[in-house]
Amino acid sequence: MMKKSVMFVALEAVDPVEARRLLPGVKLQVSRRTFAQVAAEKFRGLGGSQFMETASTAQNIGVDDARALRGAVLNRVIP
Amino acid sequence: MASGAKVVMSLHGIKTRGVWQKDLAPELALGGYIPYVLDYGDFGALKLIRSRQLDKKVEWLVKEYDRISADSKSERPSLIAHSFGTLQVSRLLEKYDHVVFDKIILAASIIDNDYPWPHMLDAQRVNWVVNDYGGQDIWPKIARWFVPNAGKSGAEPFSKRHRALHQVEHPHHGHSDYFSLGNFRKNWVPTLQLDKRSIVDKLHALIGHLSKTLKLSRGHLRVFVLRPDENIKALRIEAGLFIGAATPREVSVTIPIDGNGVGSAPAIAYKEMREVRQSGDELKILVESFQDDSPLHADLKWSIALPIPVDGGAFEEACGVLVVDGLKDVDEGLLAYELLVDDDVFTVLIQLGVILSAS
Repeated sequence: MMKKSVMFVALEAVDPVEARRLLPGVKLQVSRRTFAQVAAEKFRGLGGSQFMETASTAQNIGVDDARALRGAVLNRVIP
Repeated sequence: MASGAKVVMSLHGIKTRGVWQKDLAPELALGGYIPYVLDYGDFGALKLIRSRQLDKKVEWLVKEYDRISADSKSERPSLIAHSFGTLQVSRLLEKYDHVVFDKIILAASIIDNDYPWPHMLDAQRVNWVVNDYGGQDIWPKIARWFVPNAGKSGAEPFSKRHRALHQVEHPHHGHSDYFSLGNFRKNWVPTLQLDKRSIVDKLHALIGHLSKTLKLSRGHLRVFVLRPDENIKALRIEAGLFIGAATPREVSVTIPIDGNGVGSAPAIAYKEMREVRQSGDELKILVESFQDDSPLHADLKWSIALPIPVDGGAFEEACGVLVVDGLKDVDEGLLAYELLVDDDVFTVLIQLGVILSAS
């Protein structure tokens, strides 16, 4: 089930250099969290309703954690 | 020989002994395959008129198939066939139900256009079929009048569609224009290496999930898998890896990884490892940027680009991008949802990463 989210921001909010490189007037909305940050939250079992709304709470996942999460995903044990 | 060896058989047409196979064999070997170059001699065109001659060749082919399978311990060899070789393969599958293939690549096919590929694919007799057909190829059109049970599928596509039957039109190709090293390296060998069947099956399931979640019909959704092409530093849709309404021109669009402009959303998703979305207003700007000749679907209402993570890392690097498009507005406001957080979407992205990273 998809969760309501306010996690989208203009690209310039997370990568102003890349945003400037694009043509003026190009307003792309990007997720505030990277894939790794979403994965970290899933790995820690926080669940969708408990997602924090600040990027600082989600640190990058480590390789070992990523492997464990990958295994869990491929075995379909993520709730 | 190791169990489950990766084997590719190749089969030539008539009035030739398939010199192209000698160029293909080392390319297959470089790709990690054991090539088996089949040669049934220089078969004259007049023999084709008698169906018994085809039967004899199919009997020869099944013996070759059984020998190669036993020698290599390959449970599912792949096969590349040209012209009359394609007709032999089609009869082989119909006549012998123990025969199974991983991928079959057909070039200048003379198989009947109504051949039951969907049945063969659903029954797992073959996992993936490519039909390379040419706009300048007259021989399939002639063959169907003289060769029993033949068709013109090397000039026009098969009539029965399936998500694992990928038909590629080559408008300028004649009967024997498929045998360049460039085609082997860019198209045939990569197709053999990638488990496209698993990917399209997952995309099909994903469309069903999104259809329920977004309350849209399947026909209003489409998904594409893009991968980086190192030669041109751009993302391109992987051949055959899309589901939904799209024109040939649309699926041939490339997106420079370091390009700029409103069309860069998939490249941003790829580089930033973030979900990127475009609403109707932004897509309108994109359509207008092509002036009167936009390749994009006229009903495109929204588009979301999602990074596909490299397998084995910490999800910080992408090996491709999944693009989800809507051909109808979503009532509740699409921008209220984050697809990346959805467990089913997240799972599919990791699964795609595993498959793409293995090729």
